[in-house]
Amino acid sequence: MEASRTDYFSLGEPKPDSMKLAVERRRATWLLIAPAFAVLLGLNLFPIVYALYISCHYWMLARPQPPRFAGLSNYQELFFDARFRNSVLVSLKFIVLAVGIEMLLGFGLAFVFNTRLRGMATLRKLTLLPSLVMPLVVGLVWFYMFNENFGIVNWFWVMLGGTRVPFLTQGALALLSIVATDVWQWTPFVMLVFFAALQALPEYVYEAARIDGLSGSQIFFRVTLPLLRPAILIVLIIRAVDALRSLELVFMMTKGGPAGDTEVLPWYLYTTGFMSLDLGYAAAMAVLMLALVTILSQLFVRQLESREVTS
Amino acid sequence: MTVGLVRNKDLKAGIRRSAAAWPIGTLRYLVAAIFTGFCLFPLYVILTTALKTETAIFAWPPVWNFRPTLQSFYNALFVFGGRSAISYLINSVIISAVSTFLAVVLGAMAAYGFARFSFAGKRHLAFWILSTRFAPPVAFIVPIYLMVQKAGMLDSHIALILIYTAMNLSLVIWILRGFFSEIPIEIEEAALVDGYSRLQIFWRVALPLVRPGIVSTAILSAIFSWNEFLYAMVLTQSKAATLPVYLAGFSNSMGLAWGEYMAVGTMAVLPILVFTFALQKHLVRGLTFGAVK
Amino acid sequence: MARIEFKGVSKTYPDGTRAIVDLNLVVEDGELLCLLGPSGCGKSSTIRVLAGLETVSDGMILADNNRIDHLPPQARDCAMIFENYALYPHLTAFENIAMPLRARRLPASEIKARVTKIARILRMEHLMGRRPSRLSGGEKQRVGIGRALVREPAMFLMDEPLGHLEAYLRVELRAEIRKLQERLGITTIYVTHDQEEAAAIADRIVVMSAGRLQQVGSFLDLFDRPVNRFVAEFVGEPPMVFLPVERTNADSIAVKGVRIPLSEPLRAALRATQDRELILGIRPNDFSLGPPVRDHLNGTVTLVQPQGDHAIIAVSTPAGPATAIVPSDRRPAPGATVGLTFAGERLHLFDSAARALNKGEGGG
Repeated sequence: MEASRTDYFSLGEPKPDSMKLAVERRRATWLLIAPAFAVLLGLNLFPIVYALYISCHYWMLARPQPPRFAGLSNYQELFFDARFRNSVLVSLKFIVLAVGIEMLLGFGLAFVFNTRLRGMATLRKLTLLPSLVMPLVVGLVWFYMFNENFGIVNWFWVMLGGTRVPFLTQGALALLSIVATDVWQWTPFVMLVFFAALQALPEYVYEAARIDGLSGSQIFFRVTLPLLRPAILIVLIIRAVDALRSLELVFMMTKGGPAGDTEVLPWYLYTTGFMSLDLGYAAAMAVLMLALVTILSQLFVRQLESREVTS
Repeated sequence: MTVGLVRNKDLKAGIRRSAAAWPIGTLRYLVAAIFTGFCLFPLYVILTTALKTETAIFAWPPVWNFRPTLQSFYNALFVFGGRSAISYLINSVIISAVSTFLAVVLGAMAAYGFARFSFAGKRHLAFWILSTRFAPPVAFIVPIYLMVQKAGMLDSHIALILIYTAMNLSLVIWILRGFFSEIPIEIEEAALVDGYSRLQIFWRVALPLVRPGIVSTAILSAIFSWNEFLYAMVLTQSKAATLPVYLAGFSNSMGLAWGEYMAVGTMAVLPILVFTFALQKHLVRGLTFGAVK
Repeated sequence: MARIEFKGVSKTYPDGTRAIVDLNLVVEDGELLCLLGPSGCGKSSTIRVLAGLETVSDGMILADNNRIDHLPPQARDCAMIFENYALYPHLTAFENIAMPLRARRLPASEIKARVTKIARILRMEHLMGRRPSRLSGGEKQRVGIGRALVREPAMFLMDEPLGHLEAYLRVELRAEIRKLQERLGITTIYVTHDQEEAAAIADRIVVMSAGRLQQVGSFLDLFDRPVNRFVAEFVGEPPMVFLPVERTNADSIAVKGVRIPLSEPLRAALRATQDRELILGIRPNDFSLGPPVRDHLNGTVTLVQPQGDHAIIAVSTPAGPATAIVPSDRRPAPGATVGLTFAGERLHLFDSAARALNKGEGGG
């Protein structure tokens, strides 16, 4: 039998008489974790390595020639590619606008819902639906609503005194329409996270603050906001990465148009890889995208880690 | 310092506070109701458009009172130029169900391993698994397409099932790890003393105790698999194609078959509505990977 | 420095719970008053209502004859120490103590000076840079005390501040709190359920039960002259023994036929009431144990608990269970038959409404 509780489940120095137990423990650990690890190894780690490999080749599916080693020339070409730069810029605009608005709206709405009034809980639960609905269908219905000829958004706009606007086919408006759709879809999620964070705030801290003489705005800036900082960072990173990789809206509503105004990085990658069938070039973009996502996910992990330390 | 700190402004604040209480509650309800209505409105549009006749769909100004018809549903499911939605629906169900099952089984095992055992590099492994949640499908489809093609598994159910399993593992493992570590260790120690092996303890003792976690991660995984679009579109064609693939074909229909597509859209969205209310309790924990409880 | 007055204060919560019922109480300037009572007696509610964390349902609260019950907590010049410390988890000890000063927007140099001074008084300078998660319970409560002290408020409110601490820390910290309070002379209201704590530090004690004030006075007042059965039972450890008695005459009583000698003041009080159902109260220290005597109260020893220099003896008598405290060297053996004797002046009588019969100031 093990001597102390802390030794129990840890891989300490195996004592001679409990060698058999330690072997059984090691076997159990391996059996439990190996299957999941294998799946992720094959479908997550390996594809990354493979993508690196592909990105170093000229690899066109449409041509009969076999792939040819190309070193870093795909990356070099990307560097000078104006369309690539544009896609990065559009993605950046999209993320800043969409996530920015979602964070602000979601934050404010969390306070609105942070109450025990009757019926608010039901309303709150209903608001989550946009975030769970199939994104492709979201694109479909907003495509319908933004339509120039029979769209409901235009109907509202005309009611407010405007004229019919081609929301999805006119320059800057197209991107704004996509942003609006994304805001509709994800603000509830942001709101829900902030709501949960607000509910988790300890009540006694607020009592102490009131006794200490802090005014309402002082309480907000010195107590509430700092205590919400972990939640803010977490939801910010989640939304930023998800906005970066989202494709469905552009696919259904604008297909990158008009003239590249909504051509976000995922769209350029997708068309390069599966319409132009230039896999090597697409892989290079994929690798760059993965690098960016890795940095962001590391930030996320670090944020979670620090919470584990303090709690 | 005496309690004569009864500043005039505080006196007024004290009185004003009770007077202002009433409109604030009403204001909350107003804002909350408007926001909720805004959230639900497009869902209403999906349903109504699916039930409208073609003329009503294209009408300007938009028609609010109309005669509902099931023609679009009928077309989408049974007629519609040889492209019936039924097989897509069936594929979606099969693939979501199996991949969810696999993700939960493999994920629960791994989660238990992380919760109860220590080994070298555990922390790094755990955080790497967490980071796979952020994997962008659009970056992965290039290598994965080639891998699937070379394996001869294009347009097969198994390919999507495996990919969706990998996609959901991170969520399942991370959430269930939290649930497993909340089980008091004494219960498992007692079982060990009683002579059970560790795997038996996992199966008979720990697993039943995390049932709520299993339910919520299963539902979330099912939703994510069900909604997934890019992998499905690139890797399947006809045999294993799921609902999103069907819907993606909308652009090819020259943007005219609104009714039928909205009908399929309704079918794609309905299961979510049902499961959401079952899911509420552990939802935030699930969606933020336990970072916010 | 403040004289606090509760006038007809009541507090009923929305779910119907009547936490405070018609409280009338004066807290003198500079005194340390303890609110003592079991859980749910209303003591915490009273302090919270005074702090402004809860509103008053009825009545009013005055501080130095100014009405304050309608003011928010920020406007009342009181500092509070909480049972669970209520420190700001994201701030260092220094910042926690500094917070009340920052609320008043004092200049940074003055804040630094005052906080450092408090840290020195509490012997905590080396802990100032730590967050609450890295402080022990005692250290956290010291920070809480520091946060209250740094303001030099008109009153201190303490809601079971030592409840979560180990026994030795409780004794140590309560002495510190008392010394500080005496030195600063700030009116303090201290909530506790531990009567030993109240006895140790309070100038006066308020015993509460079910939202009502039972009795106010020094510990000795409550101990020697409890005004009802609740106070008699709650104050004093081990608790008072209660035996039902029969009334044999206008001014005499008997327990199971054994005539009980009464002092003159008690006989006078007995004559003044018509009640036939009375309860006799005797403190364990007031019992003497000896060999059984005929026509006296006798019983069997059921349990002997040695407590060092004395022992607590549980005795089963025909009238009910009793407890006695005797010096260790004179303790009886379990199962022995003993006779209980007591002095007539040390008795308490309670009527059918559980009120103590008034023995006058000279009694007991």
